Amino acid sequence: MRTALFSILFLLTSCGIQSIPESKNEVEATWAEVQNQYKRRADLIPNLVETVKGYAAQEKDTLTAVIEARAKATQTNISVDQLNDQTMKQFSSAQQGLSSALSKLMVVVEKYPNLKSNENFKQLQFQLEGTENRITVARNRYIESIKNFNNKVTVPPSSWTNSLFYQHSKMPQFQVENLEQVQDAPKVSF
Amino acid sequence: MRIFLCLLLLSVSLSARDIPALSGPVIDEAGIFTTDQKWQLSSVLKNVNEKYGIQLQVFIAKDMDGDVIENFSIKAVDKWKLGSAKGDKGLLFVMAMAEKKIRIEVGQGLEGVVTDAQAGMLIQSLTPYFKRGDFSTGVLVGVNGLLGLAGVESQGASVGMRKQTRKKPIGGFTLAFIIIFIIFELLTRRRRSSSFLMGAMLGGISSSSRSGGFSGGGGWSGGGGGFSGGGASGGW
Repeated sequence: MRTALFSILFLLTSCGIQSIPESKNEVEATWAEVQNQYKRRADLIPNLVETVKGYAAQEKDTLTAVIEARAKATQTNISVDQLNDQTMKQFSSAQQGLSSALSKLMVVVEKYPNLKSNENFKQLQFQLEGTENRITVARNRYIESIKNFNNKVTVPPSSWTNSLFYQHSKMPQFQVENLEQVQDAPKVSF
Repeated sequence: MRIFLCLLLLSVSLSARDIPALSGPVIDEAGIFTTDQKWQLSSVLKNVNEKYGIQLQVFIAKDMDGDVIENFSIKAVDKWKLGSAKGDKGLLFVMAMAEKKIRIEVGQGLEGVVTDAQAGMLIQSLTPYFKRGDFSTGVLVGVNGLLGLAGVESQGASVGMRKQTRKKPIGGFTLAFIIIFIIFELLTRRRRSSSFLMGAMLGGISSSSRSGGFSGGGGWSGGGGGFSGGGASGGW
């Protein structure tokens, strides 16, 4: 009798009936934070572009590239339910496009000492750096929560509960799919 | 044998250095503060935590063992969870002496008042001290500036540090702070027992100078505050 009770208790606590929805919620929260921080970055850009324009209007191509990349990045909003490998790839590449357009802009800016010493620009630079760091933190937390969730739905015993009750499938992880870009990172030459 | 290999692998994967336990408001691995200074600063930070619910932690790390400062500092706050779970008003002032890096990590509840730009400007205004090797003054000025930004009122904070983002790198209050600090240094060099002055002065920040009254005994632990990577980094 007692062993039966204990085994039922054991099943209830470690089977995932509680922890699977919990970790699903965690995934939702961390994903929302990822999108939130990317949005924060996108919100900074109009101001940044305006400031740079004031000093370096001739860098039209670079500025247009940033504006276009921003437009593309803000259009790709993906809710948790839509998350799969395909949409994740879409989202990542749109954001990556904006990242590289921005880093090109930051390289170009080096040529304009007046702009660099502009108070407003300095502040924007700090904000941009801060936001990039927040994005990294948010992504890391998402990666952590996805790892946890995927373990719950694929590793027994909780995976049995999953296939019985919830039928969740694995969720997509962030990938460094821009390996080619990383490989031909800007070369330093003297 | 297999177990040994496993252990070896484990130790390799943990090679980045550990974050120490939260032993007090000031963790000074590099020994930039004197015992008196450390004690004074700690009691001020404890007072501020009690009064304003703002938990500021000073962490002077010897080195980061190959880590980058942003990662190192988020690891520290994830472990310590500075600030209460409700208010999230935690602040971390972290320096890595070997790598010459500094970062201010801002809790979620303070992101509105200590913006990334303000934290960045504050760090920039501190680097001259660090370049000169005057670390203790630099940290004190930085802590003072941070508390000012976070709204910890003192007589001169609103004059000096609030307008930090304007041109002036050093506000009037900070200047007074440094001068008094130097006087204090001179005094203590002559007479050991006069650390009272610094206590009164630092106590002014939290507007309660129960001189000699602050017991070192009060507990210091994180309250579950959340961080999401706000703040700024710099180097010297």
